Amino acid sequence: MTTDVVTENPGNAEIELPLAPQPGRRIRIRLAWTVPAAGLLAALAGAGLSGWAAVNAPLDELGDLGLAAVLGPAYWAGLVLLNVAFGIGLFAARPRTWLLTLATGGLVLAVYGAAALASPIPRGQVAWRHLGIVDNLITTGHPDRAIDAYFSWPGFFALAASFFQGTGLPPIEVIRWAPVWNTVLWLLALGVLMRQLTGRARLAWLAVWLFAAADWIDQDYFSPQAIAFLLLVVVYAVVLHRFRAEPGLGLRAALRAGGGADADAAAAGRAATLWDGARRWWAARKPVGDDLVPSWQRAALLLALATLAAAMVVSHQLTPFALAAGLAVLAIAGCTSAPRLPLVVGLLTVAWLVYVAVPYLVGHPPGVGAGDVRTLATTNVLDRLRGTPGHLTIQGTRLVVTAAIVGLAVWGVLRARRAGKLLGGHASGRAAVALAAGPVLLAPLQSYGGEMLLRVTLYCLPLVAFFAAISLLPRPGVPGWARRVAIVAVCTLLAAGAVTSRYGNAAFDMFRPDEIRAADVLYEYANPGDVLLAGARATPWRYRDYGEYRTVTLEDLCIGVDTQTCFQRVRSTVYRASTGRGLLLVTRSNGVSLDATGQLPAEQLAEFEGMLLTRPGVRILWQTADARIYELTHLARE
Amino acid sequence: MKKRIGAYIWLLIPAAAVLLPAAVAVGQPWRALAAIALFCLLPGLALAHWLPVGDRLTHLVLAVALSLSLATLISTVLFFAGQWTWQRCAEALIAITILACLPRVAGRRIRRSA
Repeated sequence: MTTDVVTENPGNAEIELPLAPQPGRRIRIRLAWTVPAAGLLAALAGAGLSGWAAVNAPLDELGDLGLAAVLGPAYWAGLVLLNVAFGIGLFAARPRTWLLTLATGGLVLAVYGAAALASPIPRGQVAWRHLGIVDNLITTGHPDRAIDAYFSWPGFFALAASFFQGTGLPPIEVIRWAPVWNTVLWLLALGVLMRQLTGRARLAWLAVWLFAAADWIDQDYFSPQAIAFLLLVVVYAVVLHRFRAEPGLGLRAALRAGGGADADAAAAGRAATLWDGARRWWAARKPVGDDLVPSWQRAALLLALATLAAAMVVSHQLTPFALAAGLAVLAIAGCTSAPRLPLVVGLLTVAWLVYVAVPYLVGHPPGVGAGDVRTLATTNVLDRLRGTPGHLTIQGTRLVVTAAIVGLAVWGVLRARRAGKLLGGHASGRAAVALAAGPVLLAPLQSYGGEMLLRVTLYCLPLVAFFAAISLLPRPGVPGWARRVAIVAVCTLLAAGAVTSRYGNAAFDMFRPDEIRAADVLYEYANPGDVLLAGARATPWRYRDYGEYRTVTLEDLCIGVDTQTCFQRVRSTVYRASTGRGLLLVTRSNGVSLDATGQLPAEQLAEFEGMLLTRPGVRILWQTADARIYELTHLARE
Repeated sequence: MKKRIGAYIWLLIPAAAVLLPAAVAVGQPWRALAAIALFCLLPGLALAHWLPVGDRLTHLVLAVALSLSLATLISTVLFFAGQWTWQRCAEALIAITILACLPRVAGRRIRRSA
């Protein structure tokens, strides 16, 4: 039996059964619906299998390999099916948008919704802390910038306060599913961006898919950077949509010619000549495709982009710098007809720093640590490469996934040198390179708490995914079978690597009900003026009474010191509390995180807890299998 | 036919925005739906129609980004002014939505009566 896919009318099912088959001629059954139906089944089965496996994941067995180790074969089979469905949609004669959309939705649910499906408790201590900041804003009615840096950039939390109160939705459910909704918004914006970069629908879809499959960076939780990243991508997309330009002159030629025709400039020397050449090159840029737009509409669109930038500026410290850098490189490369836009973003950012974020600026002077490559490398990379074998495997997987997608992108850039032909008509490889290069400039400026490289990777990832897609799909048209299989295999491997990397810390960032209950009890026992201590940063606390208590962790006090010194530091911290009382919460996640990241062996934490109980003024207030609360009073009298 | 649908849309957007207080009284899920529409879509949709963006997807994405940005900026200003309530934020967004739709609706009525 031969199956013939009818490509002229792909939506219709057509079955042609000759009533009287002629001898020597085979029966041809045209099943135009067979392939898309297989894609539909694969997408639904993939999402269903992955979702089912995530819901039934045995979280009690979580180890230092994270969630990936307990998801089971059904999850991975589902992931493969989703990639196959995507491949079927992508490699049809005309990409099937409905199937690609369905498969992408399935991938988002499977990858970004896995933790939410597996547990009713939101993942990650930072999301819990963000909930506390929103609670503080709602309770006090104003951002108290003396509390911490979050209150110098309160935009996102102000939005969340209005959103929570306006919708009446339970905040816990909102933050639990935030990665899914944020990623859906990101992918929509990325779809628009990719359409500006290439006229080839297949290439644009593959780039979006690669982003979704390879993004292990885990910044899509309930956070200011998630919304700021969305705004960043939208600004990039609109700038390329309506303010794209092409350099009218080659830079080298312009600099060489410089003011050659101008005798005065030539006399003023080479610097003036170069300056004049650069000005000529700058002025020679030609807007692309916006001739018919009235100038008031262009101005209105610029105002809209400034509004997006302003929202970003009041919400997040780093993203406005990434935006300004990306747009500046775009302008310098001659790829935008709005070269003053980065200046506007820069001015907004500086104005906010100078007028509103002063308390933060005083404590963190700009430029400190800039260019200190050794410190940057240590805090961003080397400090992370330690811990238990499982944790090291996760870190290795993260490096491999990043290296793989960046390697593909570099290959894609080399191929895209023949951009006009390669990217299909109106695409601009130069603009994509410029936008990818901009955020990289931020990397040597600050360590950003050891997260700068992660953030820069995220800002570059849309463009990296674009060039990686070019390396996989270098020419228009449907590729051959070998390449199709290779593309699906690459996407599947990236997605598997990203799931493993993203949920690699699940043993200590997915909390158990007892740990949440312990944090509740901690606040019930706490009196105003007490100091609250936790074993490690991996604690689901600070979601309420955010500015009320001083909070400290053993991770901050005790790394690299012996048990006795650790106790002395705890004692002096408690002594400084106005009530002379401290409450120490030690949870299962605390022990696992300190042990897995190689900061404090589990035995040392157990030894510390054992020693605590021998001291006068220390008693256990509350305990379960997963958490203990110690009361520490009058420690200084010892 | 297309023009008539367009006219209704320009009436529907502000109408949907104004319906939020009513939805709050009715309760869930209408309250959540109305508030999500107001905070995440309607003001941007009303404004984006004035902007030179070509296709529907770009229009939608810009509308969402603009709505979220406006809600962020308005909430932030209200907090710094010590005047924040979510109702005030919603009222400001409703006002922006209506003001952005008004010229279109009024323009159509004037053209029709002329």
